[in-house]
Amino acid sequence: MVIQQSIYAQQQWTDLPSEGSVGGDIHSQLVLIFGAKDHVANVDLRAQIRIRYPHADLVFASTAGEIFDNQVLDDTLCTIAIAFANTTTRCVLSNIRDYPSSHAMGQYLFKRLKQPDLNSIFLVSDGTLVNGSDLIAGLNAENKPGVPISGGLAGDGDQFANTLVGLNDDLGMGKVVAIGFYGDALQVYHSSMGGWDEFGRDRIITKSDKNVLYELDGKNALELYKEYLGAFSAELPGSALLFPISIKIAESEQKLVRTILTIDEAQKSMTFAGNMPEGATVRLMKANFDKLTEASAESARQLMQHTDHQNLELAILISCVGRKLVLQARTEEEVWAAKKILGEQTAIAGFYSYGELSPYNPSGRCELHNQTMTITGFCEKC
Amino acid sequence: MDIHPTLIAQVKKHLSESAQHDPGSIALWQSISHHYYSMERDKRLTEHAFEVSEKEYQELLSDLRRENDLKQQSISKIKAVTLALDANSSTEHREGEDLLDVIQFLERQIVKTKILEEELLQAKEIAESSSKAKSNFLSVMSHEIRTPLNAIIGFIHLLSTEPSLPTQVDYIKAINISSQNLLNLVNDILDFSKIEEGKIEFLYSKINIRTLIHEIKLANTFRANERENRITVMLDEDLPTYVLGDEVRLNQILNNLISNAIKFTHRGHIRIEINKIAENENHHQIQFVVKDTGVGIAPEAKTLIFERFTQANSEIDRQYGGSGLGLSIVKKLLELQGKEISVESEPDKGSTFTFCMDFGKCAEEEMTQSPHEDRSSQHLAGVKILLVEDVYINSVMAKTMLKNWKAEVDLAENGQIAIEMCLQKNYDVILMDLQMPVMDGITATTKIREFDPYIPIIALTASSSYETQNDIKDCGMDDFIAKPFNPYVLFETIKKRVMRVV
Repeated sequence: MVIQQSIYAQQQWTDLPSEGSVGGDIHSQLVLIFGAKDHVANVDLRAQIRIRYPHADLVFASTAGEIFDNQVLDDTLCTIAIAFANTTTRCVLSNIRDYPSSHAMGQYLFKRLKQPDLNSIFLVSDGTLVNGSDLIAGLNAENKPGVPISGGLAGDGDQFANTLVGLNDDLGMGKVVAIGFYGDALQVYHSSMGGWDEFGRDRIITKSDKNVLYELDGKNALELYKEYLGAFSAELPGSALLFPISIKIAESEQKLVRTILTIDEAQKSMTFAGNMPEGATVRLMKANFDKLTEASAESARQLMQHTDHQNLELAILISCVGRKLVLQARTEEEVWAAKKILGEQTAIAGFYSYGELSPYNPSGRCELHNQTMTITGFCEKC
Repeated sequence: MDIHPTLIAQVKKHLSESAQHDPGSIALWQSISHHYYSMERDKRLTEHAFEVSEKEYQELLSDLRRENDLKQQSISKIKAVTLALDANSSTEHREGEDLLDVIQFLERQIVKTKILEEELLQAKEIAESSSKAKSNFLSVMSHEIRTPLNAIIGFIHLLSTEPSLPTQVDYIKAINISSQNLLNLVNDILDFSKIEEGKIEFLYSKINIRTLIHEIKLANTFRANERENRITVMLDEDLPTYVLGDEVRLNQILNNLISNAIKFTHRGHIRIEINKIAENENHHQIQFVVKDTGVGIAPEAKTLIFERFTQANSEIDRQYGGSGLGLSIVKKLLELQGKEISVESEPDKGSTFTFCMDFGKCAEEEMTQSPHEDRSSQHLAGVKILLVEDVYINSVMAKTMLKNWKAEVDLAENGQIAIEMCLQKNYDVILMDLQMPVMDGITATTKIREFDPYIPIIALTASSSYETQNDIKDCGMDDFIAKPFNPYVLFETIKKRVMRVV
């Protein structure tokens, strides 16, 4: 596997010196491009990338911040070009407009990629029009072989307005690109950690519709939430980032973290970055800066345990925009913490997203996460 | 973001003026300042979470206290209630206030209840088996009483058909009435035990109500005359000639009411009214009224008179006699058919008993000759009868009776002999006793039916229990006459069976 990382910032391209990058341009099969929405939408920049990587599939996603080696940046465009030695890839693009539901689209994507030697799937999805929970449920429904699936939802800075995802020349809103990796040479690892503290008593969701929550324990959810926030409720909606919700859908399942995207005072409802099914148990959470950073390190540590501590070639870090908004100037610390564990020889790239996709356990089903540091590690046998 | 005030103070205290303006140092301070601020925010968040948790903890604690109070109150209530149920055990477990104690207490109560239940069941079984023994005893005794009574009634009948001295005629009548009364009493006791056991079965046949009431009147006239009472019968013109009903039971009800009326009336009038009050596609509804001008019933005794073994007062027992079962049987027989009896009465003015019954409709056939008319001219000439009877007196009596009707009679002393005789000679009808030595009547009938399915076999028995009647039907007998039998009934039954074959 040959990896070449470049960054476009302050109107100029800079390559990250990386081992064996000579000749990578022509042989690259796949280029992941993460950047600010304006840059992703920039036709000239896309043309420059195409000229440089004439034979590669270009996969674009707008972000809420780019992770480039050990830095967290805004207003850049980062490329990760990959030339595999013994792995083939296939990219499929779909648009939510063409499907009755996100679930149906998830099923379609998996069917398109399915092949006996399908190794794993990485996907980037629109972050506002597509229901991430349903998309994953659709993929999981078809994923009988149980191949690992990971990725993230695109971002739009701290605007939460609309996101861009694209494949080659086809770019727009409501799109999902799923990348299938084929062959047995590639090893893919996952981990995902939040680092949020739970507190307060368990509550049961008694009224909800997809990702919109109305009632907890038969009481109005927004009022209950405000009561919980106390003095912090004056700082809503900003303070909602400090108090996400943990959710346990079934007794056997792992708890997931859900971020509050918006609150509707008129409807007395709260909209989350993931589904909040009725009957699920929820609990309030709170941020602790040191623990968030420590969770990033722990996520990297777990990943390395799965690899038996052999060196990774590439780690894609997808972290939540919520963490960035909470950590603010200290955001970069979580990337440093992860990089320290992953090692100097591992190429690190990624972005701040509107939702992370990854299984909890190496053999588990893919889930939509919020507020986590989710790492997908790649390494190819020669 | 501004540099944290504490950090500014620290920098000013520890660094020289030139170091304070170094760009590298300023960047470092900014970075450190972020940590200061974020630690402060962390502290605020943690304090807030603690406050929320503390508030919830206090809420839960007070909820728990309330629930605990409620639990204690409930336990006390349960204890109070259970102690009230069983005051004897109150000393055993007053000390504990725990739910466990209460549960243990309840457990003990349940065990006690179970033991009590078992004892009750045992007591019930004992009571039932003693009741069964009683009814078995009644059945056996009635058989034992009926057998000699059969002979007495039979011979009285024979005596009455022979010329006698005028004084003897009165004696014979007196003996006849006494024995009939004795028979009625035995029948009452037997019927009552059958009703108590729920073993009454209603058998429906064609009844001529006019004839029936005429016979009942005749049967009661002698006793009525004795007490200087007059009996009149009023029949509705619309009364159908024939209806479907249980003749034996209707007879029993009316007889009981009329003999009762006679008993409690002196120099008075007993009036019987029978009216058709309604009719539909399948049924006639007929009302029966038995009215007397006798002593009447006190209002408080009106319901009492229908209870078993009770009479209006114990004085009656001495003055009028009787078993006290008559009205109780009437009421039960009507209840079993879904009907009620009502009574209107005033002391010293008389009583009126009224009841209604539904009868099935049957075709108004040609008026066959009443069997009671011109009975003396009837006979059974040429009819070959096999009488199967082991009791000598009974066989002599029956034989004499049958010979008087000019029938040919052969006697078999048990079932085994009867079978052999049937094989050797053709009979028109067999009169079969049930309880006999060597072979009983049921077994004999079953065997006879193997080679002769058609010959009429009429059971003659002193037992009239429900089981016996079923056995009689099952073994292939055609008819049943209870001993002691009414000679006319015997005659009619034989005639009916012989005619059918001919």
